[in-house]
Amino acid sequence: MSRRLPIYLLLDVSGSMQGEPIESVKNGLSILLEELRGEPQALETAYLSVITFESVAKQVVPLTDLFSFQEPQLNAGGSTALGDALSLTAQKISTEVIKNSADTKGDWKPMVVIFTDGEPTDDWQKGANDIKAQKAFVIACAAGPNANDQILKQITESVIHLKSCSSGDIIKFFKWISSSIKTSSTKIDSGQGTANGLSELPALPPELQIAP
Amino acid sequence: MGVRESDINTLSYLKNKVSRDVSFVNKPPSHYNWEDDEKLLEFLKNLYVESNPYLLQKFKDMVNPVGLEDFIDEKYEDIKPELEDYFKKLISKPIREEPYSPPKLIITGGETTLTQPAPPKSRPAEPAFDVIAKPKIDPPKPTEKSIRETNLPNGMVNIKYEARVPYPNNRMITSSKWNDELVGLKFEKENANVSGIPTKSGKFILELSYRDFEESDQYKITINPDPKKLWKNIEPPQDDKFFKSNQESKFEKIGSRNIVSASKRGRSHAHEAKFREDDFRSSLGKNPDFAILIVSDGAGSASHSREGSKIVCESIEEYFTSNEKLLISSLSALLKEKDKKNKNPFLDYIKGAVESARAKISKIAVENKNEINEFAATCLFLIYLNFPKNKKTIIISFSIGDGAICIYGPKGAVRLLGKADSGQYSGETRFITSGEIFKDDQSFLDRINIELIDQDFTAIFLMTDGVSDPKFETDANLNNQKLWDSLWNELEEKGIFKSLKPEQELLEWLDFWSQGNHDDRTITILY
Repeated sequence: MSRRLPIYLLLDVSGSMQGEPIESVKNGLSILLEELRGEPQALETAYLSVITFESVAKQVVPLTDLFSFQEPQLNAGGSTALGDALSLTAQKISTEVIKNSADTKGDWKPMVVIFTDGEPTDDWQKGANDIKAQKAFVIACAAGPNANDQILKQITESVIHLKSCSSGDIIKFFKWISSSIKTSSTKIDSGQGTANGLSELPALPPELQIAP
Repeated sequence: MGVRESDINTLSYLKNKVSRDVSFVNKPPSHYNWEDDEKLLEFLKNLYVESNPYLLQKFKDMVNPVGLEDFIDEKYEDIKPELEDYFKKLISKPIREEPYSPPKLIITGGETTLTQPAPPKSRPAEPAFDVIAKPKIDPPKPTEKSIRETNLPNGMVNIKYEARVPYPNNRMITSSKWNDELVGLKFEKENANVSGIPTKSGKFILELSYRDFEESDQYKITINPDPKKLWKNIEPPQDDKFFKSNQESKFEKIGSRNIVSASKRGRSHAHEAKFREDDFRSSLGKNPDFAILIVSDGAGSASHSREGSKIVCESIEEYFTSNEKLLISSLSALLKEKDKKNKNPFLDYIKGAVESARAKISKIAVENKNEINEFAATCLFLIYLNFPKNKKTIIISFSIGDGAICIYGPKGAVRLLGKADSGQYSGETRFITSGEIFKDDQSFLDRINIELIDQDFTAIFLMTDGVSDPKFETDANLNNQKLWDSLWNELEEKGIFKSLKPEQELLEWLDFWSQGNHDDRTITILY
């Protein structure tokens, strides 16, 4: 097996996501899958996992290749246990992602994408420390006016602010994420390794901004 | 009065199913012990018989009414008539004939109260309630159109697909409908199977409707494209300053041996209209028993690395062919002064080759106002010096960066020349442009290998990582003799060593498919 590009999508499904936002996230995920399946580099190397968080975090899809990935059911409700989600992700990375050694060529550096529309309601610092220890490339998206950029900035330096939680904006974000994954898989294929910062990813559309 | 085996099965199935269904509607009150079958049945009875149409539906789906007799053992005699009545009702008519108006179930602490709204006038019989959760429990959505969605396994274009459709077994399918008829998939009602050879990729939906049920089921199938067909082959700009052809090959004879080389642009570069970044040269010397073989892989991250790899090959070829005589004298100096490696003319001789390549890159970089790193490339070369009278061969190899040099055979022997230089993570491999290569003589010497071998070896290989990655995967595997054997067999089966045009055959062979490995591929074989 060739080296995999593991991607962990951490999706906020708390109560505030109910209605249009959660439907848009579902659409966004469908679009992301369709786009990635159309690009040979991504189709062959990207592996996807979905971790949802509300009052608790759950891995609803384990790390799965794009060929067999199936869209999970997403329902909104509950609070925002981002810390729990980060700790769970760190734990999954340590068990699911293959590390480099003399005998095995490990996977590529995992990419973690956080999508949240609110403030964490649990101990996010512990989660932040856990995820930092895994040395993944973490991109956080603060969606809408209630998301807390400042907390996300303490989790990763790559924080994107989404102006609103409207369907259009959320889908723009997912499209940007899919082109970012494509960019990373293309870089891998030409022997450059994964992308490691926002500067190596495609330009942001106007609806998305780098959080100041 | 014991519980019959069929009941035990049914009950354990129900336990699982119900605890899953129930958990997202409402937690069963704590006094229900799931180990206690009687209590379970009581709970089921309350739950299913008394209300919630959603759960009724679930229950209906999972209990085949024909098997109901089995399920209701005499042990549960007291509720039997009630259950039977209920199921008769269920079977005789659809449960939801009109928009569903949820009543309220309020949970406070451990207590559960039901407030039931007045039943709709048109349908007095069917009670219904919904759950309002505190602090949060998602009510099962009475979907507007009563369509349930289920994923079937994914498939791939042009690959035979077959899946069973898990529709509720107590229903009779009245119609099946595809959202797209042209996909090549067929639903067979008799055995509830979807099969066929999908002709296009995308998301396809099979909708089943049932007799006496308004609700219909949607089964979604994702058909993946064939990744091999997604790769585009786009020509790079023809007028580029550092233009390089997409492929190159060469064949020549040296004594009784042959040297064949081929280099091909990888799919990942072809897909993006980029140039081949690999390069190679092979050259015979004035001495009929001397050959120099070079392969180089331009760094993917460096914008002019295709020129870098070309310069590496050309400069080193030029250096050794014009300094051929120095080889013997420097070698004998080395043999005489074993202990003073650091001041050996041999070191200077090899260093001279690498330095000439580096100097040329610097010059071109300056002329083009580029950083030298933009020309980063690996450098693998091998000097073949044959002594027919002594029946010995001297092999001198040198390597910077990924790829492999190997003496293969005689049967059972594999000598990998040079240490893996790939670093712990990708992108950490070293290049001829890295400053550290010339840092000190010792680390430079470590990159040189000298072997005095018998002439019974099968072949000598030089390859870039575009070939070694898919064929060996890991650095450790480069020492695995079986993998070298299978590589050799593969090439032999392809007929390369017997062909009149081995370079053409080798070029064709380089197209081999390996998922996720689509880098430029270059290989030189002396056989």
